[in-house]
Amino acid sequence: MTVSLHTHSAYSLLDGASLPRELITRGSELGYKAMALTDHNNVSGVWEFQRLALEAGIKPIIGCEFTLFDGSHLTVLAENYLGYEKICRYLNSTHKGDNNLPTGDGIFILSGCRNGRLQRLILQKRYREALEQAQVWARFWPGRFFLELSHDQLPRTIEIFSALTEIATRLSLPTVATVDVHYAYPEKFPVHDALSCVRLGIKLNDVNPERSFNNASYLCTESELKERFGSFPKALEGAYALAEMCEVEPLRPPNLLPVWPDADEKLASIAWQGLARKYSPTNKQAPARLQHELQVIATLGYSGYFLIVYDLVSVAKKRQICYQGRGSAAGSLVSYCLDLTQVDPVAHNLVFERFLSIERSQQPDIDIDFDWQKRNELWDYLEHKYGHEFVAGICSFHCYREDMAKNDLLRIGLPDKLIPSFIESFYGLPRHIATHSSGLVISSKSLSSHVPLIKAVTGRTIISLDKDDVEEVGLVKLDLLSLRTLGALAEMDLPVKADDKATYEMISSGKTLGVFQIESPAQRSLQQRIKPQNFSDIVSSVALIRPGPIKGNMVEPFIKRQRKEEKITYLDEELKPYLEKTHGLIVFQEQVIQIATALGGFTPGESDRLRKALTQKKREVELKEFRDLFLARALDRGTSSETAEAVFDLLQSFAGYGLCEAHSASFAQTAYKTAYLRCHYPAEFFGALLNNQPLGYYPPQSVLWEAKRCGVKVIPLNINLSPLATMGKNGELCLGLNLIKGLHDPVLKAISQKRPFHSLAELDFISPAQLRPLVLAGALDSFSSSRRSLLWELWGTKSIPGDFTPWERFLREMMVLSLSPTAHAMQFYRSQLPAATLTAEKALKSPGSILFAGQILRPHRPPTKSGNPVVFFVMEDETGQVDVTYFPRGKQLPIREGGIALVSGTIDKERASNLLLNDLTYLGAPRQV
Amino acid sequence: MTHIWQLPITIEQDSFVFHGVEYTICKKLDRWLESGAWWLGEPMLEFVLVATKPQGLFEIAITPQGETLLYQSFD
Repeated sequence: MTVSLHTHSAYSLLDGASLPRELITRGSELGYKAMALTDHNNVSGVWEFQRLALEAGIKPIIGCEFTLFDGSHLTVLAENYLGYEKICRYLNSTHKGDNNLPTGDGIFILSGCRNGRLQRLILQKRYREALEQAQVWARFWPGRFFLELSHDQLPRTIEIFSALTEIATRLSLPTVATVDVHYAYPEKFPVHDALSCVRLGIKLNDVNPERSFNNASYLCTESELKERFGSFPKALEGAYALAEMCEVEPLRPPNLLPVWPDADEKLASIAWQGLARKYSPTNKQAPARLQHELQVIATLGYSGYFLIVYDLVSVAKKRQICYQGRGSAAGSLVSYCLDLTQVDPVAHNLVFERFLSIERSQQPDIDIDFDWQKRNELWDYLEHKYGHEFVAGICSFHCYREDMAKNDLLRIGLPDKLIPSFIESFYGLPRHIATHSSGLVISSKSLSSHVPLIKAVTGRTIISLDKDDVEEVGLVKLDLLSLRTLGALAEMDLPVKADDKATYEMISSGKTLGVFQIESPAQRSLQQRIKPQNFSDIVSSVALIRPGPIKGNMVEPFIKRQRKEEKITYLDEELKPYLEKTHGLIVFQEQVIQIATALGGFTPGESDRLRKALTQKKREVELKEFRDLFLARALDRGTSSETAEAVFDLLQSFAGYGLCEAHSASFAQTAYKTAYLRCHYPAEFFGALLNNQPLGYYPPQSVLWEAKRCGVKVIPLNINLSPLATMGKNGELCLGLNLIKGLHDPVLKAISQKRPFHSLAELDFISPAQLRPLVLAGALDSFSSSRRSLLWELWGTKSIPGDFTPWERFLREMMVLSLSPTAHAMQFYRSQLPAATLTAEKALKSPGSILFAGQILRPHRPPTKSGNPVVFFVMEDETGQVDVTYFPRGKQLPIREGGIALVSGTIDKERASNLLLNDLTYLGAPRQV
Repeated sequence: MTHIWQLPITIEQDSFVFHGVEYTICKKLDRWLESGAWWLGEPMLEFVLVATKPQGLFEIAITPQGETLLYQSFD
C-alpha cells in the first residue's frame, strides 16, 4: 500500500507547485491508497482535497505542517473531525500569539521534515538534546507521537534516519516514512523553485537556505519509496499503519446553520403578509405561486436562510439604508414579498426555478447591494446580533494570470526563452489571499473550531477558505455588496414615477451619461437604435450589451426586430409566450428553462441543469444526453423532429451567453430610477454622482461638463460659501470642498466652524500641505485673483511674479479636483485646429466624413464574434461626446486614455453618436495657453 | 581543507585514479542530489561521498548521462 503522509499543495502559497487536483490525479495513477494534505500553517485546501481524493478512491487525511516559535516544523494529522477542530483552533489561536500545541485525542504528531526540531538537533550533532526532546514530545502526546523519516535526497539523510531510528528504539516510538512532497512530478521542481524565489524575494541566481536543493520532493512510485527507504522498511510499514489509523469516514462538519425555531411558519407568515400588501385579492396567480415557492423552500430546509436575509433587510429599511436585491433571487416571489428584491416576478413572468428548485442541490444565493457608505454598518449589526465568533468574511485566492506570472518571473530573473512555458505552469496557482469583497458567513457554532481564520487588513476576521469551500463546509453565506449608485440614490432621496415618457425619450436620445448600466457608448448606441418605450425594453438592453450576446450575434437581430425591420418568427408557436418579449430571440437564461419545460417536458430543475450544461465548457457528453432526452420528449408531445432539432440547436447556440432575467430586471429598475432623476432633477443627480465617486463609466470632469450641457449652473469653490459636500438643487450645482484631494475631514469640519475667512493668515490652523490644494482648486480666489501669489504667500514671501496662465490653472485644478469648473481641455486647442474641425455638438448632426478633435476616454477592446480586433472609445470636447469605433487594419493607431487628438472619420447615419475612425493625430501641448 | 576539482574520472571495479594514485572505494558514506542552475541548462547531479584506500574522502558527481566527476576532496 502506497501512502503519502506529508504533502504540500499549491495552498502552501508560493511553495507547493501542484494544485490538489494534480496531486490526486498523480496519486491515483500511482495507486496511492491514502494521502495527507499538510500545507504550511493552513488548511485552506483540505475540503477541495478531500472531495477530489474521495472521487478518486484515495483516502484523504487532513493535516497541517505547523511552524513553531523557533521556526522548526511539526507535521500534524487529524485522526478524525475532532483532530481537525484542534488543528483549526491551534492555527486560529496562533494569530493571537497563543502557541499552545493541541494535545489529546484526535491528532497524530510527526516529528517533521528536515526542518523539524529533532532533525535540526541531529544535524548539529546534538544527539542527546534530540533524544530529550523526543522524550518530552512522547510524554506530551502519549501513543500519538511518531518519528518522521523524511527522505529528501539531501546530504546526511542516512545519518538523520539512523539517529531517529536509534531514538525510536530507545523510546519505543514508531517511525513513519514520508517524502516532503511539494509537487506531483519531478519535472515540476523548477516551478517550485521559481515560486520559492518569488516568495523569498530573491533572484534565481541567489543562494538561499530556504530554497530546495533538488527535485526529490515529488510523489514517488512504490518502487522508488522502497528504494529510498530500503534500509528502513519499518518506517514504510509505519506509514501504512498510521494511514490506517485515521478514520475511514470523510470529515464532515456538524450542522453549522443558524437555527430559527419554527422557521417555516415564520417565513410563511411574513411572506403572506407581503403578498397581501403587494397584490390585489383578485390575483389568482400570485398566491398559488407563493404556496409553491414556500413549499420548495421548506422542503429544502432554507427557511432559516431567508429569515436571516429578511432580518438584515429589515434593519436596512429601519435605518433608511438604500438597498436592492439582484441576481436570480429576483425571480422569487418569496423574495419580493419579503422586500428582499424590488421587481415583481409575477408581472414580469420571472422564473423561480432559475433561483431554486428541488433538483438544485446548492444553497440559494441572495445577493443584495447596499449603499456603499452603510455596508459596514450592516456588517457590524450582524457581528453584534450573532456574535463576533460566529460571523466572518471569506477570502478569495488570487491566482496567477498571465500578466501576474510574467511580472514575477521577470523579477526573479528567469531567462526570456523560458518565460512562456513557466507562465503556463504558473497559471491558476494561488498566489496570495485577499478578502472577498462581499462574502460573509454566519455560523451557529464558534467558527474558530471549524474553519481557519485570519485577520484582514481592515481588522475583520475572515475565513481562509474560498466561497465554494465555505458552502461545502455547510456555512450560510451572504453577499453584502456595496454599490455607489445606491449611495447616490440615497443622497437624492427624491420620488420616482414609473413609466415616465420624458425619461424614455431621454434614454432613446442616448443622453444617459451617469445612468446606471446604460451609459457606456455601446449602451447609448443601442438605446438610440431600439428607442425603449417601457421597462421591459430596458431589461432587455441591460442583458444585450454583454460579451455573450455580442459574440452570439443576438444584438443586431434584436434591434432589427424591435424596429420592425425584420420579421419576428418562432420555430414553434409554443415558444411564442416565452420569446415574444424578446422578439423571438433567446436573450435570458430563464427562456432556456421555459422552452425546455414547454417543449421538452423537462421539470424546471432539469431545465436549469440543461441551462448550466449549455453555459459550461466540456459538458459534451451531458449535452448529448440532454439532446436525446429533449428530442424524445418533444416527439412524444407532438412536435415534429425537424422542429425539435431546430429548437435544441437554438438552445445550444445560446450557449455561454445570456444574463439571468431576474438580475437584468433588478438592474433595469435602478437604471430607470437614475434615468428618471437625471431627466427631472439634473442638478441633484450630477451632484450625487460627484459625491459618490469613483462611480460609473466616466471621470468626474465628464460628469461635471455633462451637467453643464444639461443647463445646470456650476458654482465654483469658495472657502466661505461652498458646502462641504457637493450639493445640487434647483438647477444649481455647488461644488463641495470635499472634492479637494488631500483635504481631511477634521480640516473640513474646522473650516465650516470657523468661517468666514478673509486672508491666508486666518487659516493658520491648516497645514501648508493642505492649504496648497485649496489655492490650486480656486477656493481662495476671494483672497486674491492671483493663485500664484497666494502660493508665494504660503511660502512666506510677498513677491508676486505673475499668475498662472489659464492652461496652468486648468492643469492644477484637474490635479487637485479631477475636474475643472471653468475650463475644458479642448477650449485651449480650439484656435489651432483646422477650420473644418467640428465640435461634438455639430459632428453629431453631420452624417458623413468629418474632422473632429477631443480627449480620448475609456478605450477598450471587447471580444467580437468574428475575432477581428475593434477598439471602442469616447472622445469628448466642451460641447459633448462622440463615440468612436476603430477597426485596426494594417497600421495600428495607438489609442491612449486621456490623449488629445484630431480625428477624421465618418459619422454613422444610423448611430448618430458614432464615428467610424479613419485616421488620428495626437496634439501636443496647446499653443494657446 | 577541501579542494574542488570537477575532474572527469573513470570508476572501474570501485577504483579510480586521481593525480596518479589509484584509490579504492571502501565505503559510500552519503548520497544526495543537487539541482544545479536549471534555468541555465545545468543538469541534476547525483553526489556520492566515498571513503577510500589509501585514506581519502571524496565527493563524486554523476551526470544524468552516467559520466563521473571527482567533484571535491577533503583532506
